[in-house]
Amino acid sequence: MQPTSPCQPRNLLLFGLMLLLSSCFDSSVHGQDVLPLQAPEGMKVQQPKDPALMYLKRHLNLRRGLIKRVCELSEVDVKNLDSVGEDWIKLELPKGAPKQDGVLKQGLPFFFRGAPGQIAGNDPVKIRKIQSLLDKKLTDYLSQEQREQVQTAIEESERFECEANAQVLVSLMDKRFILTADQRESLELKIASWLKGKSLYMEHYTLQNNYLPDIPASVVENVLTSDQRMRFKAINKITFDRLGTELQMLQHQQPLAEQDY
Amino acid sequence: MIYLAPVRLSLPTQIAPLILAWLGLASMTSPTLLAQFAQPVQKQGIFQQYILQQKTEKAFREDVTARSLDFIERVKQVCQLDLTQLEKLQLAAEGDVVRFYREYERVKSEVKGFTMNDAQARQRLWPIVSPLYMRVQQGIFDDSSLCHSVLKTTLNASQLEQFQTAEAKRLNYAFTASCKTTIADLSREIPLTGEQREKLLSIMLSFARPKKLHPQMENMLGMIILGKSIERIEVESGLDKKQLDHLVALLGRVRGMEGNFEW
Repeated sequence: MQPTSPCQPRNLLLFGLMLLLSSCFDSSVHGQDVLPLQAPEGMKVQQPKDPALMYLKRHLNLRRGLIKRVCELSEVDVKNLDSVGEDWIKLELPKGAPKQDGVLKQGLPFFFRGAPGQIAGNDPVKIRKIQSLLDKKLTDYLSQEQREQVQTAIEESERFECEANAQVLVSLMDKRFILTADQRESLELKIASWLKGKSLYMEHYTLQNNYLPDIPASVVENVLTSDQRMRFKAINKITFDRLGTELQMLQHQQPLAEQDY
Repeated sequence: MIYLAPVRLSLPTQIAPLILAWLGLASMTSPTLLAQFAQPVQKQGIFQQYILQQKTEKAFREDVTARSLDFIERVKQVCQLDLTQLEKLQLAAEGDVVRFYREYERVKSEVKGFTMNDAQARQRLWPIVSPLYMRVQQGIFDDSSLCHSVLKTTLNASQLEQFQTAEAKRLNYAFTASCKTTIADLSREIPLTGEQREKLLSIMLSFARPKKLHPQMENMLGMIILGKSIERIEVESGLDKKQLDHLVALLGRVRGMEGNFEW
């Protein structure tokens, strides 16, 4: 086939026609986002596990284990806690295909927004919401004093994680920008405060010294020198959210070991 | 058993071959073109992948130069260097850079033309590439560098002590961060109380940092230390049987890795 000029009227027409056709025909079948592959006859097929379910089950086991260790519980309390299980999570998880609120399924806007299919319920926002509901459900069985004990333990754990992650990030920045001991100390406090409420997947940063999370310049600029600020600006910044990354990994990994604590 | 993942190609991916064909860049029915979109192709050279690590050669060279300046900056930050000392260090850093690029060019010429999708070549050439790869990972100015040797003879006793103290503080900071983040990660696998976390941290920090640590192994350091101190953890940490059993199971992930650390 001889190369032709893209600007030839014939080619422009052809391209327009291709765009029109491709935007009219959606790849989904019967309105579903997933095309199931056909397995050869007689072959056993392992369906992918729902990562959201695995993730929430682990959260449930960990939270229950923490409550049992932090509070003095009666037999009835333990029984109540153990009554919350997979069935409750399954009830809360969204069913069917993800909602397409306000998203056109056909036409040019859809063409430009083509996205990989998403397993039902694999939505970090929704999962965080279910996590909070789950926490509430578990602590509903506890007395006010016990609830406060659990809340304190969770906050301590989150603070510890923020401080640890901040220290790792400062240590990575130290390798790149050469910080003084005072700078390390100030940055650690500022970054730990910025990390509050966030959970990053730190391995991405520690394994490759090429990235930092998207720390706003305002968090660090008062601590860094002008040369360090320039270097900070030049470094690639990507925020790898832990939940999103773990959900992606769970789609391809073996299910998590289900530990009952 | 076959694992079937749900597949849905985005529309641009579906019609990309057609657009290329329209632009006259390929035949519409070209099997090569279709295959290109059907499976990932690693056309990158072995040298590009392992040594340059996705960077351009220019960016890589700039990075090496910046690091040599960084090393001197680190010394200057702690000690007041006079002009002679500074010149000696700069000369040593240049020597290290020259020595590095001599090796760099040799390896580059040996692996020239081989791409990452040639598995046999990858395996055959790894022994040639790996020493340089390690050097890039660890940094050119490690303990065996000319810079470090010159530093010891150029700085006076007080300056050397200042520098060594500052370096020890920096390394300890990174070590503490590594231990703390291991415990934070562990809290996502085993429910730990605040007291248990503090005890685990204190046990871990009582270990000395390894003398040599490959950057790729940094992620494992915390778990290796936990493995080495499992007997103390059993007695001192307050972890119950369920927690300990799970910890021991998790430590299985790093079994056999201890040999990569020099204590």
